[in-house]
Formats: sequence, C-alpha cells, structure tokens
Amino acid sequence: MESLPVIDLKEIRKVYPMGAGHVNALKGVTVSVSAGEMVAVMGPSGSGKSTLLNIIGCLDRPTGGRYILDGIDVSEMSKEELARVRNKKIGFVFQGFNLLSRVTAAANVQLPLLYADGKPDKKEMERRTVEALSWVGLREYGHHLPNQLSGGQQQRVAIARALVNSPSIILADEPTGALDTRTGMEVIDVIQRLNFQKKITVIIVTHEPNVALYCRRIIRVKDGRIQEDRKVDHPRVAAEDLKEMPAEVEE
Amino acid sequence: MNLAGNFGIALNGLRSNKMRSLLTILGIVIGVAAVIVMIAVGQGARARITSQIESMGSNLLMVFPEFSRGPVRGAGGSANTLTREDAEAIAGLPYVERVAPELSGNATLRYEGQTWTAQVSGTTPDMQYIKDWTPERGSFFSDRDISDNAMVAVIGRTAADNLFPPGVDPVGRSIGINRLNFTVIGVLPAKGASIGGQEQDNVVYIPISTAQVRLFGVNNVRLINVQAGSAESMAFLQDSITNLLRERHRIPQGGSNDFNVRNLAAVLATAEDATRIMTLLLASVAGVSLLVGGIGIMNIMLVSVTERTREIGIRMAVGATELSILTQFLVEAVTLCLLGGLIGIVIGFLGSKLISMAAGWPTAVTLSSVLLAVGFSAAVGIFFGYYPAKKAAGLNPIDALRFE
Ligand SMILES: Nc1ncnc2c1ncn2[C@@H]1O[C@H](COP(=O)(O)OP(=O)(O)O)[C@@H](O)[C@H]1O
Ligand SMILES: [Mg+2]
Repeated sequence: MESLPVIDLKEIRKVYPMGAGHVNALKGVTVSVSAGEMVAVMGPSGSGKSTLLNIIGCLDRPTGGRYILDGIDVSEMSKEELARVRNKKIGFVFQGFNLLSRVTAAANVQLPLLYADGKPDKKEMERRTVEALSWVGLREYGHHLPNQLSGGQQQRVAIARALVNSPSIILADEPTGALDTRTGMEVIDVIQRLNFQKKITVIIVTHEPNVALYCRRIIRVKDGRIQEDRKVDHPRVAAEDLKEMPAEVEE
Repeated sequence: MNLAGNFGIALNGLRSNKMRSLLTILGIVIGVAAVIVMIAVGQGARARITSQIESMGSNLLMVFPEFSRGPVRGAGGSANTLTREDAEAIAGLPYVERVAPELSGNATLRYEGQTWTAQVSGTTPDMQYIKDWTPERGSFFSDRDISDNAMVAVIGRTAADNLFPPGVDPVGRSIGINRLNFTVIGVLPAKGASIGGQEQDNVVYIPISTAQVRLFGVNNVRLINVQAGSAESMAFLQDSITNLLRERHRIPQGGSNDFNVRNLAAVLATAEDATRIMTLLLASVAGVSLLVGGIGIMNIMLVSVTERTREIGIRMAVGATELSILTQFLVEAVTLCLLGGLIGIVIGFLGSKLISMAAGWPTAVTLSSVLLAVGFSAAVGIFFGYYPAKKAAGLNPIDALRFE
C-alpha cells in the first residue's frame, strides 16, 4: 500500500510575528506521508499541530523549508494556485465544523464544486452532492440547515463537503474535539472508511490517545519539532468498536 | 469559476439574509425613486410649457396698448391706443403672415334659461390659423361677416358644455350674449389650460366689428396678434411694427411708445430654460440622495465582510480564489443596487402618478430617466461595493477561519 510520498516536507519552519518579537511555531519539520496512509498527529496544546496541518493543506505558507505535494513544489506557489490545489486535492475537516450556517447541508456539501475548474453542470453537481451525503449516511438530510442537525451530523456534513470533489488527501484538525465518545467514534468510522475504501490519504490532528489508535501511524509533535514517528501494528477498526458501544438515539 | 456561477453564489448569499438585504437597499430605493420623480416632474413641466407655446401659435408677436409716458399724459382709464386700422396697416408690412386684432371682455351667455359667463372675443378669421384652432363642427366666421357686423359666434368647448344640455349640437342655435341674439356657427375643439393654468376653452369668438359696434361700443382693440413668416424675421418685424405704429400715432422723437410689441415665445423660452435648470437642480439633489444610499451600501457591505469573515475563510478553504470572493461581493453589491433601482423605479413611477393626480401637474417618466437611474445604481454598486469586496478577497484564509 505504501508507495511514493504524496506529502513531502523538508525542514519546514513557521514564524509568526507576535507583538515586538515572534513565535517559532515550527522549527524545522521533515516528514513524508505516502499515498493511502492514515496518520495521527498528537502533541500538547500549542506544539504546532494545527500550524503543520494548515501548511500541509496549503491554507498557510511556510516561512522556510520545502513542501512537495504530489511531486509539485507548493512552497513557492501563488495564492491563486494554492486555492486551486486546496480545491482539487485537499478536503478539510475542522473541530468546529465550519459550515455555512445560512444554507442547507446540501448547499454546504456542494460548495467546493462551485469553485472547481471546469465546473460540472447542475445535474452532475447534485448527483455528486447526494453521493457524498449518502457516503456519510445523511442522504435524507440534504435540505436541513446546519442548526437543525446534531453535532455529529454536522461533522459528517463537513466530511461530505471534504470528499465531494474527490480529493487525494483529507486533513482533520481535532474532528472529534467537540463531540461525545459515540458520535466521535461515528466520525472516525466515516474517516476510516474513506481511507479503507476510497484510498484517500488521511491526517488527523488529535489530543485523544484513543482516536490515534485507529490510525496506522502516529507522529508526536512537541515545541515545533517532531518528537516521535511510529507505526501502529494493529490499528483498531471503528466500525467494529461501534458495534460494542451502547446504541444511542440520534435526534 | 465563471461569472454565472459567481452570480448564483451571490444571489444565494442575498437570499439567505433577506432582512439585511432589504435594509441595505433602502437608500438606493429612495434615491432612485427621487431621481425618477424629480425628472418626471421637471420633464412634465417642460412638456407642458412646450405644448403651450405651440398652442399660442408659432412665430407670434403680440401688440398691446399702453399709456404713453410722453409730456402729454392721457386721461385715466384703460389705454385705448390701438385700432383696427393699426392692425390693417401692420398686415401690409413685409414678413407678416397673418394679423388678428382682438377685443374681449366677459359677457353673460344665455340659452333657453341657462346662463353662463365666458370671455367673448371679437377678432378676424385669421385668428383660427394663428392659433391653429379651427372648429370641429361648423365653421369660423368670414371676412364677409366682419363687413356685415354679423351676429354670429364660434364657441369654445367649455362654454358650449356649460351652456347647452348634453346631446344638443350648438351649431345653428341662437344664444344671447349680453341681451343680443347671436347664431352659433362653429364649435372649437378643446385646447386645454394655458401657461398660467388659465382656461382657454371658455371663450366665444365673434366678428371684431360686431364686438366693437354692437357689444362693447368702443372703436379700439385690446390686442393685435401678428404672425411672422419665419422665426428669423421676428426681431426685424418687431422693429418695423414699432416704427410703423410710432409713425401712425405721431409719437415725436424721444417720446415713449403708447403700445408694446411683445415676443411671448421668447419669454416662454426663458421659462423653459428655467424649468430645465430646475429639473437639473432637482435631479442633482436626487443624485446626492443616491450617493448617500451608495455610502449606506458600502457601510453595510463592510460590516458584512467583518461578519462574514468566517464564511469567507470557509469558502477559501474549499478553493475559492481571491477573484471569486471579489466577484461574489461585487456581484452582491451590484445586485443589491440594481434590485434597489428596480424597486425605486416602480415607487418613482407610482410617486409621479400620485403627484400628477394631487397637484394636477403633468409628469413624464421617460426611458432616459429610467436608464439613468439603473445605470447610476449599478455604478453605485460597483463603486461602493469594490472596497469591501477587495477587503474580503484580501483576507488570509487561515486568519479568516480563525476569526471569532
Ligand atoms: N496566527 C498566529 N499568530 C501568532 N501566533 C500563532 C498563530 N497561530 C499559531 N500561533 C502560535 O504558534 C504556536 C503553535 O500553534 P498551533 O499550531 O495552533 O498549536 P496546536 O494546534 O498544536 O495547539 C502557538 O504558540 C501559537 O500561539
Ligand atoms: Mg490546534
């Protein structure tokens, strides 16, 4: 399964100006992730996990170092080009869901398609939207507004949005941070199935050791540096663990 | 990302926040409505003045009698220095097309017990051509009627309507004018009000000779209408009339005229200019209110950029470029302004109608004023939408996402 690296970071540094001085959020991170991997990034608060993920996701640019994404150097790309890369290759899932509150779940899911190069026609967009919603088990919820959905459902809408444009990478920053154990597990299950079945490369930032056990690889970050990078021999399968958990009634 | 797509995104944005959208465009609505109404009122005023100039007769000079201010002052009373002979002499001048003296006064009309007061005016047949006002029924009187002092009358619409019961054809009927019996030989079509809002249709024309000898018992005339052959000859003709009358009235060198030759069309042209300036003034006041509306839009768009920072961040995270955010906000602003413009046009149109009805002042909503309003509101949208849109597009995606 592990083949050529999709993500290849060399000596990535990130410096934020802060008042009179500055903060070294990343102090030289070198790591590569192969296609189809599922990686957990762990570490204490303020250690630079989100900064790292944002750089990988082309939402932010490194102050120094080199970042090769799918064989292309993105560290020197323009804002325009980065936006295209985000649209085509990357799906984001955030802790706070980040859905547009005033439009329906379906409209939220469809959003990346609206900005796609060679935008598909209306029918095709609707087809892909329904497909993505079905994938996260929310086929019937397309016309709901985000505030009419539970937290777990909202996060699954966000995952549907992340996968609608068939990205090669999905990046999740503490996706279960705002959820209880069971709904968190459901979200992990959806992400895991994306990895297993669609072979999408996944990186999850989390501070919950339990969540990391579902990944094949755990990278520990501390103080802007990689402290530990290890394989997990037998990652847990969320679908199986879900069966053991007491069922809860969803709203 | 094509324009149509951005347009769709912008429309969705507006639809999902109806109340704010509505409040935002209020300024534009008021501004555009004001522009439409102001221009409509101004245009209406001008149209009215133009039609009145035309109804007076073209290339028209009017000679009025006046008290002489020479060393020998005339006795009191009204000036009666003009005569039919003066009018005939004027008719002999070059460049004169037609001449119609007038002697008029109010008189009581009577038909089978019904009475009505109208202006009775003695004149000559040329009057109908000068005013371009020929009878719709029957005919005007002839030169022969004048030499005969004939007891015939041509009656205006208002006088006819008030004197005769409905369904009665006045032509051929006998009416009393101040106890004298006249036969109606013609009915004039309605002409509408004059410049000062004066009723023009409450009039009865009779031969000038009859008016002088039988009705009023005087031998002067109140006014001489002179139609010049062309607009260019008016000034020259004004001078030659003055010279002719001074000579005829034996006014010594340095003595002041006992008459006054007026070019009313010129006076009205000045009035028309004044209305044009008024229209311009009103329109610019309305334009200022449109500008204020535009600033309102900018203000609210700026607030909206701040409020929607997170939305912008989300859009950028899923692949929106600076350009697509810029277009989204710009299209939103322009759409808002155009929407406001359209509502403003409708309100302006209704407002103009209301003013016409309430003030009896004609208004004209023209295509050009509508285009002006639409163009202006689109321009306001682009101009005042650009800065907030640029601000939104310039946001850093990660900062926008983190914004609380
Ligand atoms: N936009 C920013 N401006 C200044 N400092 C920042 C900014 N973003 C992150 N930091 C700093 O960089 C460090 C790493 O932050 P972050 O990557 O968010 O940590 P984590 O996600 O591991 O909690 C922290 O010290 C944080 O204060
Ligand atoms: Mg973080």
